[in-house]
Amino acid sequence: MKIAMVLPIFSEHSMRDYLGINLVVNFLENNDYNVECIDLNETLVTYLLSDQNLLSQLFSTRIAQAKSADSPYLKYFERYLDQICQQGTVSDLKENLFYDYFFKNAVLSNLNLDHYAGKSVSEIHQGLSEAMPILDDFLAFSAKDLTQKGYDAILISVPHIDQFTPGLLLGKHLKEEDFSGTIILGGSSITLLDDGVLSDYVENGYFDYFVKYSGEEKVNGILDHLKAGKPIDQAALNEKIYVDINTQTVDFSPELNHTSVPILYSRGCYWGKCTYCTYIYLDSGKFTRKDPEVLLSELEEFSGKPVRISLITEALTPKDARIIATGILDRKIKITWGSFLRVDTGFDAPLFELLKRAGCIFTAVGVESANDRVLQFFNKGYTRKDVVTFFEAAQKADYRFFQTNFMYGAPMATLEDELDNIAFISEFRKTMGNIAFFRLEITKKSALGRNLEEFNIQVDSNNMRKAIRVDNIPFSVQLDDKDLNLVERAYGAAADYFIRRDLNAAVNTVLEHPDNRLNISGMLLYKYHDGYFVGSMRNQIIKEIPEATFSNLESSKSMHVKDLSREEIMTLFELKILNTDQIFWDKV
Amino acid sequence: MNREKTYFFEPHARFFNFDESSFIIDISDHNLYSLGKSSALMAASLDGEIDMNGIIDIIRQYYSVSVEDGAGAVEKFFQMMLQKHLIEEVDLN
Repeated sequence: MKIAMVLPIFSEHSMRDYLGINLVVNFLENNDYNVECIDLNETLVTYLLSDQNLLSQLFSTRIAQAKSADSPYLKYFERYLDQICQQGTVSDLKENLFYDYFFKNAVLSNLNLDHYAGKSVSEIHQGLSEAMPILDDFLAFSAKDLTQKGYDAILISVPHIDQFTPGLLLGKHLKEEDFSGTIILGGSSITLLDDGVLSDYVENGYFDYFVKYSGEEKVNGILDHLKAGKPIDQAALNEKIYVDINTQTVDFSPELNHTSVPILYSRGCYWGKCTYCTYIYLDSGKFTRKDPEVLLSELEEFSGKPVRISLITEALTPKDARIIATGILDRKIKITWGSFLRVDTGFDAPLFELLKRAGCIFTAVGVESANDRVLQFFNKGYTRKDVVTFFEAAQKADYRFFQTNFMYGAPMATLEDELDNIAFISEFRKTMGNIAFFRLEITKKSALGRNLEEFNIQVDSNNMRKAIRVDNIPFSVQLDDKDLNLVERAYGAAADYFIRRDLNAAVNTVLEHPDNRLNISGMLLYKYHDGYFVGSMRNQIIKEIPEATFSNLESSKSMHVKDLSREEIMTLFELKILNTDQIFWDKV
Repeated sequence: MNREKTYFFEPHARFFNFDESSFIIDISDHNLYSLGKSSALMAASLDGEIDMNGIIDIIRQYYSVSVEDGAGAVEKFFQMMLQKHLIEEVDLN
């Protein structure tokens, strides 16, 4: 049988980042099914690169704006576009580390479905050819290509709900192309959607079947039935069935070098009561962990390899953290790894010290708030006092989190409540790595979404943010737009500190070795009127530089650290012309 | 300016200290003021107990500047803060 696993647009992550896709593909291949993985995000980039007119359209507005303002960005965009065209392929873009920026800032910012908020998928499908012809043509092109390749089954994986509508649009185009195979939707977002909603889409000709919960055995069963010409029972595909977590392991392969490798540790959450969370419904409600011996053997395979292990769990318990860290040290496993934590005072200073010794340096912690009213609304199960105790323990152990997450925009939160978080971040800034802030979204299945009255949430269809997500409920907040903007700017200003701190650290590391050669790439040097500018292929920043710096950067491709001033090196880091990741990997 | 006066933030102004990226938020008019390092140092000293002379001393010690330079920078900053209604004089009575 000819089978394709397709990742729909728009995903900022590559296909291999999704553990579920890896597990299903591995399972099918172990059962003698050959699966071709097709990342439609990459296909979209290839499609755009194939025709310079299409690429130019992405930049036409920005070039026109720069032209009317007589801005030096005019030449920057022209040079940037020219360089992208010269790259020619996705693999070249990836090799030069241009892909991510190009996809997020050039493709996603132009070709998303955000302005279709509140519209049905059918309305989007009908209006797309007029409103976004590039996207509509691409979907038609993809459907035609997949049809011509004669797949017997196309598995459309929808890990993130933002990809649901694009997945449906692809399914519709495939049906319109008279695709003769079977279209199956799966992924965690599908598990969280109502059976009735999904069945309606089946009836309206978007796809044939959907798979919920663990996909390995179910998809394998569908393929067996298709091969044998037996009927498929959709009801059986909806059932809460999980494969043994101890079989869901990942093997090392050289292609994983220099990547972040997701390894499953648990399903479910040991707390599982946060009012905004729907992930808990992905499992049976039971917190299931992999046998530590199985996990440690899995980790052992990655010992000494240049990878970052991301231990997938909703939240690592203090007890498990101790067992895993001790096991890593006992077995002398040399890895750098991280996981997700919730604020739990069981994490004391000795445990944070142990984690650090065991290579656990990429830990993300979902604080969400340091305000007691908001914490109670989210039912996080801890108070501001606990958050302080938790961070004091980390501080005492000189442990630094890789990322600390906050959430704003709770319907009952005042501006003062929100700013408590900024004050908290400033207090523990030495212990935090990056900070990430997200605006609260209320999904229909969450405790908040199911109990709007109890939580005093007012539905407000005028507050339709990203309502293209079919599972979102628009709601009123106490803060007006100016307040929200102020909160976002405050988070932005706080985040700026962390960026500056890391850039300074990177510059200091580089300056320690004055005779080292600088690995400069992705630099766009140009003159505009009387000014000299440096721009980047990796972010949309240009900087006016002195003529002497311009000549210095232009004159030599083989430049040493000592050839540039601290300020010049800082500029190269800010523009990502020098890459901090390279410093990181060298250190490892 | 009277250097023996003591100031603290107006209730609608909140100061957040992030070393080189410190800022003041004025909730009343939704303004966010980014501060440089010396301004952040001054703002961090605004606890209603240290008078302007004390803050001038802190700045002088930190930056090793002359009395005149230190005083000039602090006075300028306080004038600006007063103009924007971000600080008020402490009423010791």
